[in-house]
Amino acid sequence: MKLLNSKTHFGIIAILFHWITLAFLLVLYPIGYVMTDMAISPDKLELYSWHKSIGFILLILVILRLSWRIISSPPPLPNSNPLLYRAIALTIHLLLYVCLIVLPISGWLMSSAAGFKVVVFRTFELPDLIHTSDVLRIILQEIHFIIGIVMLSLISAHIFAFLYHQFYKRDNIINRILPFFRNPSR
Amino acid sequence: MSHKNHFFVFLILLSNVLYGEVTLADTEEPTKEWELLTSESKIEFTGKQMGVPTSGSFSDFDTKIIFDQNNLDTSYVLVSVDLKSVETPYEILTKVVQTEDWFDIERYPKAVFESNNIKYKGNTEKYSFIAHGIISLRGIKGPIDFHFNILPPSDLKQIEKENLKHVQGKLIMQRSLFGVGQGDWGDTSIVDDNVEIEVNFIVMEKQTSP
Repeated sequence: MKLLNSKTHFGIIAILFHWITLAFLLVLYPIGYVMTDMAISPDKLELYSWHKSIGFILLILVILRLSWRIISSPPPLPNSNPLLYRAIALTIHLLLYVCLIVLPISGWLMSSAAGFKVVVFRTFELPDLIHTSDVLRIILQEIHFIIGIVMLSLISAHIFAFLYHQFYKRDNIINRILPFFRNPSR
Repeated sequence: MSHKNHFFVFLILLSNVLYGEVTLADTEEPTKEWELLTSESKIEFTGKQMGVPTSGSFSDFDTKIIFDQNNLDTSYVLVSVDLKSVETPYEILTKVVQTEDWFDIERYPKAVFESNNIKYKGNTEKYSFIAHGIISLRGIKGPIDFHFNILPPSDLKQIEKENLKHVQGKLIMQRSLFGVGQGDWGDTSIVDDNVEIEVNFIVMEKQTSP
């Protein structure tokens, strides 16, 4: 297994980034969904703390992931797909990255506006990005929510593309991002 | 009893009265009483939940302050806070701290701090004075130390009167001792036990009629 990306496959670093991002999202989405509807309680405060802490770590991870993308360019999309499809895929990938950056930052901004600092895993306090403001808090709350939904749609499209390749085209394109190939390519 | 004796008794009585009056005047030194300028004064508190500092304040409070730096023995402080006047960054949070689980303002509308044991610690300390007092909160009385400084109000530009002082101090209380935060809220791993209370009073010396 190579560290760097090759012409046809992602290297182990990029593969780890991809699946760890998924793992983070699988934790962040349910917490975010549950915590906002809860009546105020110690459990609610705890969930908020987890959501913010994990969200911040994800932001760091995404920054590292993008840096790695610059260091080691990803394998180009296979020519076997029509140009339009490749364009759509690239657009979705790009938008996913935008969401992965904007979503945690909007959450951070929202915390600052609300007057509740982000204290990552109760250990280190993030600086406030903006001043406390009720109006901004409400606006940012909406933005955070909407981007969350947008990203969920993009992820659905991403998964749909996987299903299309896997079960309709049967080109095993998933192998590019799996650490161990089920059908080692020649 | 001779006239001479009568006169003697009279003298003793007279001297007692005079002496008594003199001693009375001696002990009852002109006490320096201070009036609170409510609109210039603040009581703020900061607790921590999941490591996140969370602050609030009280807008309605009253004091009786008798304080003379040169006569701390007769000094006395009483601060009474109307808990209903609590404010936090969030309306929901404000409502929560007023409930039975927290301040229980229906049953215990006031918190009171009282001290007649004020000591000078020296001006090299962060806080020059300490008032050992009793705080009454939620029907429970507990000892507490209030650390404070007496500053000139010069840092407050809008006030330039000479007979004003700025009392700046803090006290740290453990909410669990007073049952503030019942049930699930009692978990001090979520909401810290320690709550820091910051006090900034602007007081004016009362003009006592001579």
